[in-house]
Amino acid sequence: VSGHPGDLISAWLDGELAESDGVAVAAHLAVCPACSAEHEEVAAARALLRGLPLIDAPPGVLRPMLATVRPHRPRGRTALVGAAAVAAGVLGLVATAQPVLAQQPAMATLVAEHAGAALPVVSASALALGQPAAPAAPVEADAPASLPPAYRLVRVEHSSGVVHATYADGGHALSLFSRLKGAGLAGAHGSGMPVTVGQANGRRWDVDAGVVIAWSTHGVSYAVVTDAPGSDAIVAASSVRTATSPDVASRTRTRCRRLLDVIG
Amino acid sequence: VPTWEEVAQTHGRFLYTVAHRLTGNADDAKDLVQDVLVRVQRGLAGYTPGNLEGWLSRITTNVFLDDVRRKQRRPTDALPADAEHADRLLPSSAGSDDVYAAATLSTDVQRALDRLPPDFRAAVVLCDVAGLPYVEIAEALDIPVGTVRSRIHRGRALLRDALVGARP
Repeated sequence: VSGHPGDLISAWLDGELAESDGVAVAAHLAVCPACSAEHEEVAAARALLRGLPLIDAPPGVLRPMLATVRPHRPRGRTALVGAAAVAAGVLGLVATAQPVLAQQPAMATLVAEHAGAALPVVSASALALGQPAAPAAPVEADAPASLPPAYRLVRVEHSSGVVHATYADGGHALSLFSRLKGAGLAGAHGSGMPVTVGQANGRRWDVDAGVVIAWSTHGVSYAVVTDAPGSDAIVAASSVRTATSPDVASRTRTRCRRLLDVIG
Repeated sequence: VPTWEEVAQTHGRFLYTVAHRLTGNADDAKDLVQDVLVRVQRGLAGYTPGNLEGWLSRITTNVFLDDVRRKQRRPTDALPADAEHADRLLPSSAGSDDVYAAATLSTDVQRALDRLPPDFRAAVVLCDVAGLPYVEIAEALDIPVGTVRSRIHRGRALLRDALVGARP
């Protein structure tokens, strides 16, 4: 260090200088009023910046957006942004539900495998189907046969043996997780409220801004996570049809083919 | 490898703060965070455990600077072409609507930050808000450490000038 240290002053403040250089800077500051003033100024700015508070994100900002995957076919219609935003809300809800689900090892795994996975099997162009889900959605396997009016299937994901389908009506969204051969949930103790789901016994948790219902039947574990009213959630959960062909991958393939047929 | 929910829960506040300090207002911070989230979601699988906040601030800063450069190419809201030699401050960005900064002092410092040329602001935010060492800032911005040093020093001096100038 020779002459005026200039930007080495900041580097010195930040502990980014070798010790010998730091000593030289300090020695110069002691004898040079101009550099000493410069030091005071940048040190003051540095202190102000470092004293700035952390800022809480407004609600909803930290939820990942869906609809990041474009349709494979150029003819595919574009996503309905509103529905995508609502579906994004459900991912946030899934995050909220995780502490609850963590009490259920099987469901915790099931949801954890999903929440961060982002493996869309069906592109967001499915958003533009434009038909009510109740009559038009695929009703095979694990789709709820009864959803409140105007719900559309917006996304289907499949990974690690879990199928995650998301439905939205522009106001609420509902995610259905299903997994074959999951550990039984009906017998789980201690957490949630007992609830009857069709013929099965399940558990219900009321979490921030939503409801989680988990149950298992015929060797398949299910969870519904939704911000829709709890009664809708129960109706939808009770109407889920259990797989007759016990192969998650083939069910997913069938569903995707159907969706692609509709989109194409 | 953390899940997105773990990232949001543990580092969401940090991420939003960095975005807000860079953009200067809640609306742009929100848009920036959304863009970052998409990249984070895609990138998480390939993330090697390390300094997660460093990784997040690196992505955030790059998305921010890309955005600034895109706007720069549009003549209507041009920013100085050669920020490296900018020797005077930009006018304060209009509509800087800082709802979430409670203290007046924070608001003043944020306003002063807003007036720094984006490249200087990025270096200063990575150093003094995100707390990254110079070497990581150099990697994040793809510039030599010497340039990092001069941008931080100059950025702080400009910020201080802006604060003093703002006083009645």
